[in-house]
Amino acid sequence: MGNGTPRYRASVLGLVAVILAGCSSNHPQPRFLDKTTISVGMHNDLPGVSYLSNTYVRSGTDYLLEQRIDAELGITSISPTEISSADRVPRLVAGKVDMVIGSFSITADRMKDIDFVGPYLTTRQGFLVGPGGANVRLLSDLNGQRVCTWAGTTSGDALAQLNSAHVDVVTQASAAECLTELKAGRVFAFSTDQTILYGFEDVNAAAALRVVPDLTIGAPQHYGIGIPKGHRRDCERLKQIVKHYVESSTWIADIEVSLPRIPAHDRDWVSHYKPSAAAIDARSCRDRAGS
Amino acid sequence: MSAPPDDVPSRYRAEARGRGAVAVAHVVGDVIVSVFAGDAKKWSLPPFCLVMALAAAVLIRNPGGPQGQFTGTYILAGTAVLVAGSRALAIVGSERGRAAITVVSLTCVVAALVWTEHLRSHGEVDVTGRVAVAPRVPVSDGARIKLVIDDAPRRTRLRLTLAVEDAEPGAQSCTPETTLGVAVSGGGKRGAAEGFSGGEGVDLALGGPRGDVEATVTVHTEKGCLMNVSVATAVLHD
Repeated sequence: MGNGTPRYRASVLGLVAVILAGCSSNHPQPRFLDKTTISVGMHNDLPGVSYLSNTYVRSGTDYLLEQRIDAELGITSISPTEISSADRVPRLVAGKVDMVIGSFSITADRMKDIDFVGPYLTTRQGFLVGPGGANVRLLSDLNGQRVCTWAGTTSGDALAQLNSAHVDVVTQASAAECLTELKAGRVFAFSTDQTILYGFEDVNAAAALRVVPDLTIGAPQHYGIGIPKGHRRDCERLKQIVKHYVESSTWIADIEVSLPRIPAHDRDWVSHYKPSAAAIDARSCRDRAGS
Repeated sequence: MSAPPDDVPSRYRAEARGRGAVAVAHVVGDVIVSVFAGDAKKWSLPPFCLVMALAAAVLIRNPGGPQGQFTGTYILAGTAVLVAGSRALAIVGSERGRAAITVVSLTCVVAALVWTEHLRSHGEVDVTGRVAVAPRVPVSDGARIKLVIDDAPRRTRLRLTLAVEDAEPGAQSCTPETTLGVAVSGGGKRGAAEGFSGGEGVDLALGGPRGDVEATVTVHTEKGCLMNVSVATAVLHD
């Protein structure tokens, strides 16, 4: 045995090398959008939805979804990059980011330029008011008041309808700026998706900010994941992941953890915020929404 | 035998007419024989011209509408022209063969003409461009839209497909959840349909043959959605 030891070692090493080589060829690294690593564009300033703290800890429903997608696809996404609402479609089209998970409303126009997977969450545009808006219940209570919204979103389009109702619409570059304006009393209300507003309400309890219950404008907003066109097979893979996620208890848990004000305010919140499988099929991986 | 005077009994004039009739019958007989089996060189064109004239009538009498329903008439008329053409070019030499192809071509073209006349009375009529829609503005949930078709060929049914699109494509995605209802106005057994989507066809009874149709479309969509509804196709048929 002593004479054969070097030969024996060489044989074992060779065998290990062959096994390793075999393993690597049988299990190629998972790919998505023809890449092993993808970049994801997300918001950093929406508490409960997509937030990056001062200590660089991420949280929110969008972030939790991104983590679950990474795990399901088996890929690694590089640290999410901040993306403004106005830049979401242009940066996807230009290939600057591979995926956007950023309270991204699916619209007919956007579907022409990019593919959506979703919705994974459905919300409506509401109003956040400060202490001065304690009596606001109806849209008419906003007549003559300054209402803030942010650029590059569908919220501005819906608010434009209010111009005829004598509402003075103020447009800021980001949601955080609208919040600053509201807290400073320079605007009477802040209008955008209720999911975002409930997140702000949750972290600004001391400022007595309040989402006006049952006061909404515009059409439902269906949040989808944006990816570039031309990857329909991967798009369908992602669709199955999202459908499975939305139907699971994980989806409920993620909302309860990230946006506790929604279950607190709305007892029937699951039926209001959870999209159906048919809604996902009708909007995912398509150039135009189907039936 | 001398020529009969003018006042001779009428049997002479009858005989004269009889001779004429025989002459005419002879010529007609020659034509018929020639048409069906006559000399290829001398009488090849008349049957061809007859078939061509009937084929032209098939085209002229075409009432318009979805072209699929005319496929059969086109095939029959085309076959008749081709067969008659082969006879006109004297490709078929035998007398029996010429008679057979003439019978075939005439049968085909007459069948095409009869079929066309049937379609004029009972065929599909595309009235998409004749449907007046009011109001032509974006509508929300519960809105009613009136469709009016005036002075169209009388038929008993309307096959209707409506198109639904987001009126604010930059701000919403409401098409998948939007459904429609439609009811033909008037009493009796008039057709109605409920819960269908844009792009999905419905077939409505008009309550008898009618050329003036009025129907009401009801839009069901989510709160806050604004939709454009238009007529994609409207076809009257029996």
